[in-house]
Amino acid sequence: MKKLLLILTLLTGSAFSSDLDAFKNIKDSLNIAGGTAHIKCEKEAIKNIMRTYPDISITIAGGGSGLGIKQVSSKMIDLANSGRTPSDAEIKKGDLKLYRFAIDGIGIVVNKNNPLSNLTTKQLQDIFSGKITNFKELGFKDSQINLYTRDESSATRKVFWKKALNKSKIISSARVVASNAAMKTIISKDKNAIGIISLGLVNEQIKLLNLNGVKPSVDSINDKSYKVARGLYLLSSGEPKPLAKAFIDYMRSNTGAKIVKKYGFIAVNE
Amino acid sequence: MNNIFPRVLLIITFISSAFVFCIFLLLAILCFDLFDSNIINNFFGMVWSVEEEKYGIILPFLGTLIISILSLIIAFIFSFCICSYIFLNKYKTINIFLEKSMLLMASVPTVIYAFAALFTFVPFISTYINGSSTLSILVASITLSLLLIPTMGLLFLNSFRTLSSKYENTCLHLGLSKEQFFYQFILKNSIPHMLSAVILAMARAVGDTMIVLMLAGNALSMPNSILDSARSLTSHIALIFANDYSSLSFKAIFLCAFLLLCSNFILILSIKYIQRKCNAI
Repeated sequence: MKKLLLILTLLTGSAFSSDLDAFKNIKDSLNIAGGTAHIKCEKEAIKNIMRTYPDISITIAGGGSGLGIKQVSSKMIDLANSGRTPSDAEIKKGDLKLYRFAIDGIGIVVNKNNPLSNLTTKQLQDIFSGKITNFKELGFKDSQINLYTRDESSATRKVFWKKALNKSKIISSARVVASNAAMKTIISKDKNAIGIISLGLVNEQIKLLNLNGVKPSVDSINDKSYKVARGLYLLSSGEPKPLAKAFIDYMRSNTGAKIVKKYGFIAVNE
Repeated sequence: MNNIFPRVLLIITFISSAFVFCIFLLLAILCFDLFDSNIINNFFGMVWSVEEEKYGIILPFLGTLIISILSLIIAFIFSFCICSYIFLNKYKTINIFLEKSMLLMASVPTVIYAFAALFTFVPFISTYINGSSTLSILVASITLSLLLIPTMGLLFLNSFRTLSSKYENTCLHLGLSKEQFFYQFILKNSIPHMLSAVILAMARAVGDTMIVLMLAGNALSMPNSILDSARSLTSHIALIFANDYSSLSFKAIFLCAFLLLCSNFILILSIKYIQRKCNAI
């Protein structure tokens, strides 16, 4: 029985680590920066890689997709995280290669104690353009809405503006936070908050709203009933170096897909 | 040996001031392109919106001024009270405790203050004071003032003590009480030193990024009250840094940096002016 267990453990162990084999014989370092939605699941992947191969060092930083694209184009980093497809000009300028490994939804979130549960596109446009400023106008108790958005280089903001607001205006008095994680923190602390966030970061600390009655989830993104979604990309300038290539392959492997799913994204490999 | 040391010091001082001068020059050159009458109007407007191609940096500049002046006022009141108390108080243990606390405060990184405020102060304000204000000028200014209290306080204390060590015995023997000595002699004579401490703290408040970026809310609209949100020049730079190099919105960074450096230069020059005046007296 013990032997059987041992064999089973070895078998599962080797099956699990097979996706990591590509990192064998690599002694190098890799710098990734950009979109902040990617960070959580990439961190877990990096932990797996560096635990097995201590000679490899991978660093990851935020800054927003715009910053990532800019830094990878000027070769300051090896790979950029981007939550949007770069524009044609950006691809041409930086000779960018795109590798999509996940699909992520962008959700509208409020504090977990907020009774609000659904918004229509019209209401959302009115809130973000400053026409609706009080929860009373949505049929709830009288308190001012504290609106939070992301900075202009954020792909979360860009995709939300395009697909959820249909390019309607975002008012300038909306408070601006610099990352998805910061958004989660402030929404969980502010009982009158409305903000936008990558679905991968939603947990019990904040409450996700339905948009036009559709609950944002892996299923509703898959059957296209929830449209505010975008691909999560890894970008390299020119052909990626061996470690970067191995990392991209790992994120799109079966193990990578498991990690991606664990954090609420949809795994893709194309 | 005695000759070498001052020379080394001179060389190091020269190199570091040359660096500062080079940075100033570099920024001036980078901004030079922008001083074209068509482009420059873009930057001195009230609206910043990349979508509408408007790049006014007046609002962040005002934000910097409002936040730093408010934090300076709060920090001045606290640091002045603490230092006067330390000076007049007879109990050594309390004095040592207060002084060491200020030293400790000086060594705390700004990001720690910002984090602590985000988790304690922000929910407090939104629950008990005003539901609509979480990330606001008030929160950022109060947190920033924690940073300025030791900067000012330690300099205040230093100037009080220098004066007191010189003149305390004389004044007390002339019949002044310790309180009279403090209010009528020390305070009057340490005004120039206190002013330079205030200006130094102001320079620090203007230059701080982390606290304002995390706590002021960064909204680009004219604040109606201190419970509204505002953006400072430093956080504006941090937030627009990701724009395309060739775009006007990226070039605005140079102008912001130039403005920041200029305002710091003006502050430092005013310290020098005050010190010179003080020496003349």
